[in-house]
Amino acid sequence: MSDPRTTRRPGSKAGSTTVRRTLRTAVRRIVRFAVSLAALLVAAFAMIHLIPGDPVRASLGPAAPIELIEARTAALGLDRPLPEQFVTYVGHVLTGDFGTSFLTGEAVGDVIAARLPNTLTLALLATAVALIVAVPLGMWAAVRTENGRNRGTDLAFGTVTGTAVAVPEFLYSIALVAALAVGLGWFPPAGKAGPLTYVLPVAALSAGPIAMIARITRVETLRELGTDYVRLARAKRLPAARLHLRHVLPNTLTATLTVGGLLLTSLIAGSVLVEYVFAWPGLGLKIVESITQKDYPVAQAVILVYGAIVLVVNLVVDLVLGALDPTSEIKEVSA
Amino acid sequence: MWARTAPDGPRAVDGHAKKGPRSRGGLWRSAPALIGGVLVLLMAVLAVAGPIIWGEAAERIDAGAILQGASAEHPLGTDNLGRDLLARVLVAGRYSLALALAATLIGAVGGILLGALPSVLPRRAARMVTGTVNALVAFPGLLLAMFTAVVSGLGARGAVLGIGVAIAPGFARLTQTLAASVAGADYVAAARMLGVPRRRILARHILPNIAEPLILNLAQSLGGALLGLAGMSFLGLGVQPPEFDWGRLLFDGFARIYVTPVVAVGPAAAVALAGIGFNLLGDTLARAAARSSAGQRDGVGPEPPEPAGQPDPDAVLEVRDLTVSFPGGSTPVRELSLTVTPGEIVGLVGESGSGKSLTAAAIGGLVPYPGSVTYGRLVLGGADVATMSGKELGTALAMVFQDPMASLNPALKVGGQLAEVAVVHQGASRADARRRAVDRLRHVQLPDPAKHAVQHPHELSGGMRQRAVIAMGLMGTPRLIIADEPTTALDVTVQRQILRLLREVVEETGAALLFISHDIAVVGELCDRVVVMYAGRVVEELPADRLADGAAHPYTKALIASLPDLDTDRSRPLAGIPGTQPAPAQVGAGCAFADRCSLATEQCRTERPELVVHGPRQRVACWEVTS
Amino acid sequence: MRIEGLTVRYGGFTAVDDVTLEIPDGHVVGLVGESGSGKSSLARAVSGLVPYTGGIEGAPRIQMVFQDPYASLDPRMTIGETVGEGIEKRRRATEVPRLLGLVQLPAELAGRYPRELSGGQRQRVAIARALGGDPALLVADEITGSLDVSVQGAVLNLVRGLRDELGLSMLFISHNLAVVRYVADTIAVMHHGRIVEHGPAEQVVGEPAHDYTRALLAAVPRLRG
Repeated sequence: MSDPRTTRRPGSKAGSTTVRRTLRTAVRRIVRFAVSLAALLVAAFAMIHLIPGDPVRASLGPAAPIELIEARTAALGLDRPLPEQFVTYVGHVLTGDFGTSFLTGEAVGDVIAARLPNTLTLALLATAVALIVAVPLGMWAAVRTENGRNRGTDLAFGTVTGTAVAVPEFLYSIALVAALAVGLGWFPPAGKAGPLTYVLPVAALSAGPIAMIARITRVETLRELGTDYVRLARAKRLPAARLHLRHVLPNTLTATLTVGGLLLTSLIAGSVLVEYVFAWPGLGLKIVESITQKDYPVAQAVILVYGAIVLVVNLVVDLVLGALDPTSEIKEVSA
Repeated sequence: MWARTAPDGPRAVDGHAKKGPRSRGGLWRSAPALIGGVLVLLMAVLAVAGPIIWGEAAERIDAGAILQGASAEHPLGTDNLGRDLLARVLVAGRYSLALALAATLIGAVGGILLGALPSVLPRRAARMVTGTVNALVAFPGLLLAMFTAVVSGLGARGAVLGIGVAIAPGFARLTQTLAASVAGADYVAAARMLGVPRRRILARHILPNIAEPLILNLAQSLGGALLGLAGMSFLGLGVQPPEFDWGRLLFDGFARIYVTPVVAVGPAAAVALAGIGFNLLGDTLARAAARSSAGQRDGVGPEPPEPAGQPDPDAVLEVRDLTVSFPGGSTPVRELSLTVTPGEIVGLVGESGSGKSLTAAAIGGLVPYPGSVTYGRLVLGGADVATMSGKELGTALAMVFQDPMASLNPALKVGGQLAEVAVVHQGASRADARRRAVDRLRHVQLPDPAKHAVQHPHELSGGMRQRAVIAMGLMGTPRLIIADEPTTALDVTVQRQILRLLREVVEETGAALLFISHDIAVVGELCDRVVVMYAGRVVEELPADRLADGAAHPYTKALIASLPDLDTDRSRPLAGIPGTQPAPAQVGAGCAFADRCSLATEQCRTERPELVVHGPRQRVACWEVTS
Repeated sequence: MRIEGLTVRYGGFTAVDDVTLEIPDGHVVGLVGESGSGKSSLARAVSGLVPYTGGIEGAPRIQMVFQDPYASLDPRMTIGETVGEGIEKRRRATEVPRLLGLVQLPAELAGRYPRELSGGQRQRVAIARALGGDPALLVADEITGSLDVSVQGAVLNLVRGLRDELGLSMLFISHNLAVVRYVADTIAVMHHGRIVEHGPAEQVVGEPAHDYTRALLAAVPRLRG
């Protein structure tokens, strides 16, 4: 009543208005994406220049002959004026040219092309596993502990997931390697060769997210179970399965999808540590190597790629949510 | 990634204004809080005492014990200089925690400043800052941390800075949300109107109301920072030798994991325990900030009363001695009896807290756990409710709730929600059920029912939705419709239409209607008979047309007198009732209304009056009126 | 005071559409309308809480009382601190008990917190706080909307008493015609952002001129008999 922006006027319910509003929101999101991408490009470019001292000298070490440093500096264009460097940089990135590695002389673009699929596979698999395990688990916990019944289950669920969330993926990785690979020898400890090698990295990467999503699903489900329309569905004496799957689940999907999207981005980043432990030939391993070895063109390019993936995933999630949720544009306006 | 917040975290924001600082004790007693508290305490002790006790042992080089596994002398083995790893883990606690603390402070201070900035900046700049924060929140912390670490150089300083930067956006977002919610509160508007200066509003209203959740969030951030720093050091991007933190020890240990896995155990366990401790504690603190504890205790419900007298064969609903109680001695509905005959419209009226809605819920079998319901008799359409199947109940009983915006599932089409009753309970085919749904929607005079059936609820107005809910109840063949404040959320003109519809439905179907409302005027207008509730009990029952001048109970009379209508004498003060209705746990032995009643005597305070016949079709529970 | 051509817009939506309304000194003007009629937006505009176009003349000090007494008091401030807000420090010790007395609350309540008070008491505190600002106009937005009927009567009596004793001008907003009729000298009826009728209370109720007013009146539930 006090906020007319959230009050839907009966006259504005026509479908075309909704479609137009959805489209307008979509355009706004795409614009926002473009701005973020530009900012990311500037940040990646600035990275090299923000490094204190001379990055080339830092990378080649104090003993490097002055001619080599100058040649390398010139090859990188670091002796040109900044605006010119930026224009060149953007031009190169847009044509897929990410420069060459200081260390190996490989084209960074080729390195990324070879390694990105491995990282994406890992992250996508882990996201899928996490959602498939966690959503039913969270719903089950919510239904069992609704209104404070089964305090024991509530406590156990809270403690176990609270603990599981707090353990970082590199510890899961190390524990899995130590127990199942080195100790029992069931799985290969490292590398990527065949389906078996996927098991431990995916498990390590999805353990924390399972706990987190299960918690979120539980909270969302509990909220749904308390709504009037679920009360009404209960008054209609619908069977439990129908009640939960048809009335509760669809309304928790928005939150689950949002989290799933965020999760994918965080898993892509989280895979850095897992790849490191399992010597997984992905981008994560590469970025660690490049930073410790001061191979700046590689570090710069990989961070740029990671950032771009995050932005793309967020955009896709936003657009999908906007198209799915019939009421999302209200939230958009009133947020 | 390591700044994973508990899902209850953001919710802390919504609820914080409503809670009082009382009754947090129950939460502290819960197991996760205890585990978290103990672990954090252990970490604190370790940080203080570790280097003092084991400092020397951790640095003692032993050329004869290089790269050993577990032994009695070195339970976790030794490193490449023969130093005892257990001692090194215990000593590294201080450095690990100190770095985490530094990173958290950087993140918190930076984040809070960034989050507070929009409230002092001009509109356009404020929106830019908000946008930037929103964009940064979406970025995984590790990316931000690595970027910062590259720029500021490898080592502890770079890692701390990096993790600080990674934490800041979350803090900024939290500050923004909290500040925005408090700044929008009515009490801030009131202060602004009183001319309280901006600075003072910030200091008196906004800061105190957002400080607590922010401080509580620190515990969780500290845990996140600790894990983040451990991760950076583990990757070799953080602490560099000869310094060592847990992450660095893990880095060294990991290199040997294929040969002597035990060397990784110490640092891994330390990191895990610290992370778990801070997370569990932070979780509890965030929850404590979010809501006051419900404080549920297990109690024993009252014994079910014996069924008294013969069942009434003409009644569609017969309730005898219905009691709803909650653990902890709260009994919101007490020994309530009620009879409704077919085609009758009975109004159940009372103020908030009188137990009228719980009565409706109990009849519908919808009392939420942990409430317990007992009754001598609860008969619907001649059958005991306890023996009825879901199918029988689902079709014989229809319910309508207060808020039509909330009564329909936003994710499902209106027609589908109606049709499922027919599909589930009557075995109708989908097409038949759809047809019947459209027919029922037409029956409640919803314009263009075929079109609205395929729409989502948000495309209908409030009055239309309430019609749809009523139509849903008509999918079966209801004997009884329970309507709990069905018009309270509607405008008066729409209320009028819905009341008329309910009356028509009753006339056409022959179903009875139990109409629950706080508004005695609405009840008096719609109903045949009125049942007045006070503090969980029926105090009077009378025909609706006698409300205006035949009401006998002092409460009913006062309720009518305090209601202004269009003929009220404007020159005389309105009647009111002094005092407040007792809470369900505080009802004493006598008449619950005695404390507010001008007629009350000593007998009223000590003995409870029973409901007795007082004129035709009227029953009253009052010593003064009936004696 | 006089409201002249006041308009409130939220984005493309016009909540209050060119409203002109006069509130004579010492008068209570009642404003009725259904949800979405723009009455709350008008109240907030008059109180300076939302941006508007148009003019408000002749009311230097305006205070407002809100609908929900559970949201309008800072949970962290005592009743005394809340009521004393906006009053000079040295006058606070004498003013707070006086203001509490005006709204018929015992002075001892000053040390309590809002959560210890009932809804009716909280609403009195909110009124006392507004009176502390020495208002030339008091805007009351659905102040009995979340109170029980048995408590509402006392608050309405208080409102009338304040007008009689202090000569307070008031804009009294409610969806309930009977309540507005009881406290107001004149009644303005609002519909779709516009005022469709404004006149003396008995006249608007007794001989409504506008169809919408008639519809509203017909919808007011009445006890039979």
